Amino acid sequence: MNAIVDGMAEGPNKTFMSGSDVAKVILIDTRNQYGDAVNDGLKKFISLMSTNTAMDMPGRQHGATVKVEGTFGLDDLVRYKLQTQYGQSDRGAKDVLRRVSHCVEAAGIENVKASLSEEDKEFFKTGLEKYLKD
Amino acid sequence: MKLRTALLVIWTYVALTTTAASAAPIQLTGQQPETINGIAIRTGVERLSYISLRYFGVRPAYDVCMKQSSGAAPKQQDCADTELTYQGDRLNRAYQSLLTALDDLDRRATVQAQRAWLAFRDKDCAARAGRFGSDAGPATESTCRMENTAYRAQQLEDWRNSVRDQSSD
Repeated sequence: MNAIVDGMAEGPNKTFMSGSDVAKVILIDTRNQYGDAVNDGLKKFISLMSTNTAMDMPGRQHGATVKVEGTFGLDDLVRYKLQTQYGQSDRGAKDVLRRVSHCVEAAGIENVKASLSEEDKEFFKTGLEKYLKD
Repeated sequence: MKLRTALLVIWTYVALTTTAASAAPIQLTGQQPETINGIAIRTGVERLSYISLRYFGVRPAYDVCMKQSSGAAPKQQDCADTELTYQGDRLNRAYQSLLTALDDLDRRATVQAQRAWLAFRDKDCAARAGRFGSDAGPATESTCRMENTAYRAQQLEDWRNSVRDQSSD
């Protein structure tokens, strides 16, 4: 996991990933749950910026894509995981968020809260709603 | 009389020993397992898992990959995803080939059926994967989609072949 972050090009994405424990735990957790397609896609995704075009979501059909919104941050990591095939059902989406909350606990809730950007806060307040169907 | 008595004794002895012998396994194992074509169907094992995936055209390489995964769920998802790519291509080929062999009415009905099947497959696999828990969820869903795609590809290939057979009669 450190090798993935170390291997990133210098820039805001690398700065975020290097300084965010919860982002690193999410990478590890994703490695524990998903195969190479989703993980290779995530590795690519964390290097993208909002100016890049949307990338095809690995393992999905029907032209499903995912795109970095604003400055790369925790919200993008969560959206990526919600866009997996597994995250398409209500149960899957619920499980994705349950695991993310465990990652937050593992990284320290207060630490995570303190480091949330305004964009992250907005996403968790209102942006998340469209992914939650029940 | 003596002969009849002797036969009766022998018959009783044979009947008792035969019953005892045949009853012995029941006493040891409880109810006899159901057997189909010489294969005992075990409780707790899904019945459809007894049908070899080879019947649906799943490649032996998938089995090899699964063995090498040593039960690790992310590796199993890799195996399923690789095979799903192959089976998806196979399904598309069979589907396109079938459409060219059908008349207009059947073709339109088939397109609708295939779209409905695709939506059903994804919803069905998502629903069925839930019971295997979080860690295995994504791998189970991928495996389900792959197996169902192979099954559907086989259906369409068989359908196309039967249409060809009819048209050549």
